[in-house]
Amino acid sequence: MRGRLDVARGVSWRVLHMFFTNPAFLLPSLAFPLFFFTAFVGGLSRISQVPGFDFPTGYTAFQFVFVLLQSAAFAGVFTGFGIARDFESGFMRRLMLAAPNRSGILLGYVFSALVRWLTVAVVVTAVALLAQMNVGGNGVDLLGLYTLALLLNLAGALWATGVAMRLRTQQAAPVMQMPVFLLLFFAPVYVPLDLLKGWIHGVASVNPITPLLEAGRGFISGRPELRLVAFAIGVGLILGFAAWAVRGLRSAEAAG
Amino acid sequence: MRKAIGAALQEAALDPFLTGREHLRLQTTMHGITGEDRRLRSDELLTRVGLTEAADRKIKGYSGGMKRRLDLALALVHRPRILFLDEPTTGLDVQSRTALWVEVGRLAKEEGVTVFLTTQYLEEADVLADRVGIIDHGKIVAEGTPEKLKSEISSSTVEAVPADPDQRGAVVAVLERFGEQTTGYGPGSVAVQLSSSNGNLTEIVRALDAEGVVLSQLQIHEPTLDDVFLAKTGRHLEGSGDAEEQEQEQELEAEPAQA
Repeated sequence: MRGRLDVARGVSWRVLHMFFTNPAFLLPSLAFPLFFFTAFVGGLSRISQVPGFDFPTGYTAFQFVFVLLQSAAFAGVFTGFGIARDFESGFMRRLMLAAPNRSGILLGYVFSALVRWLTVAVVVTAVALLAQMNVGGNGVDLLGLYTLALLLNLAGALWATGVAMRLRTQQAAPVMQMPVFLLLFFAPVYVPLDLLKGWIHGVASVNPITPLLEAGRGFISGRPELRLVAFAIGVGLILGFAAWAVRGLRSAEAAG
Repeated sequence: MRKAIGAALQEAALDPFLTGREHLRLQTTMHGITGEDRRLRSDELLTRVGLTEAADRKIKGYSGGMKRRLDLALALVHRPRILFLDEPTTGLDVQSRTALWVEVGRLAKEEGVTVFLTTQYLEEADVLADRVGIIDHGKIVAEGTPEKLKSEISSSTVEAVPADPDQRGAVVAVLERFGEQTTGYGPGSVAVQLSSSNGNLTEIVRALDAEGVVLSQLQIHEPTLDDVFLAKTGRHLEGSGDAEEQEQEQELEAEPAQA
């Protein structure tokens, strides 16, 4: 266990060192969620006046939850991009050779994804508060919201890690990104699920992200709903994608 | 097991965004070396490979030789008992190559590290290795100490260059009395691998003189690993036309020292 943690510490130190010292890594992670937040809240705020739109803390808080979950998922996916880059540059081979325990490499990347997201979350939250976002939930509710986002972050990181470990090329970026993108945007992003009509309502109803989004919105408005379902989905995604990532690591080991 | 092994790859895959010292920080952390121990170990290794001054520079500013030396330092962080070096001097200038030879030799002799080194350079294997294995098309075709391998194949080789190219036939006739003609030397020269009983250079000179041959050059070559390679594989490792193909198929595995 000690060896695994040592490797994880080394790997995450490197990723985070690059993230915080190189604007090329830091800025895109911040830019995307801030862009979504600004575009959705600024450009689509009148949607809240649609009949049947009932969200007590306002459209800014409604969209903030989506942007928070989106930033969490994509902070995880960006970690997969980094792993693919390390395979292409040959640096992953160095890590594989040097690491006394290779599962520590996975752990290190996933931990760095978490820290990256926390950094983004602090900035996005600060911007939302500056934009006078109303928060109806108490401290426990907000802890629930950020924990849900954290689960999604870990799931995204493990998913992208598994893809990167198998394909070992930066050309795999769309494979990591697109399913996450589709899942996020086929959820009730702009209006509550009840206001969606037609096929998009059907898709959103079975989309596993929907309960996370609805639960998150419940937390921020102080009217928690679907909590257990959302946490169960989050934990389930993590367990499934952890197995996916570990098998990906074995695949990379076998490939030399 | 992995803790006992260190490895430096043929391509020193380093992170261009990190400095040399930061690479050592990564490597030491992964091996559980932290705090003051990390600083001391990093400083020691940087000094040993001559990178103290460049330690805080980004890798993208390093030369090929500096990268190889840093790669070696990284492989030594956890004091491995066995070190694998995959063509560590390929593409290096003479100065960098010599510096790396000195360090590898010191590791083997002073620290008792068993080093497995693959190389395309026969001279390198001769200088560094206690035991050499010659691999041809994926199979070991010869194995032993450099001295044993050299003594196995022959005694010395005599190379003569006639002053008048027309006298080449006469030179061949004389030299063939002392051994079997061999190839791989200069274009105008005649070379003979001496049979053990006829290794007297004085007699060769007298015989050539008796035939009235005028030479522009006469040399005696002690057997080298190049000769061993030639004898074992039928080809020279370096300088041949299909060198690139051979690089993929042939190499020497040299073991500089055993712990």
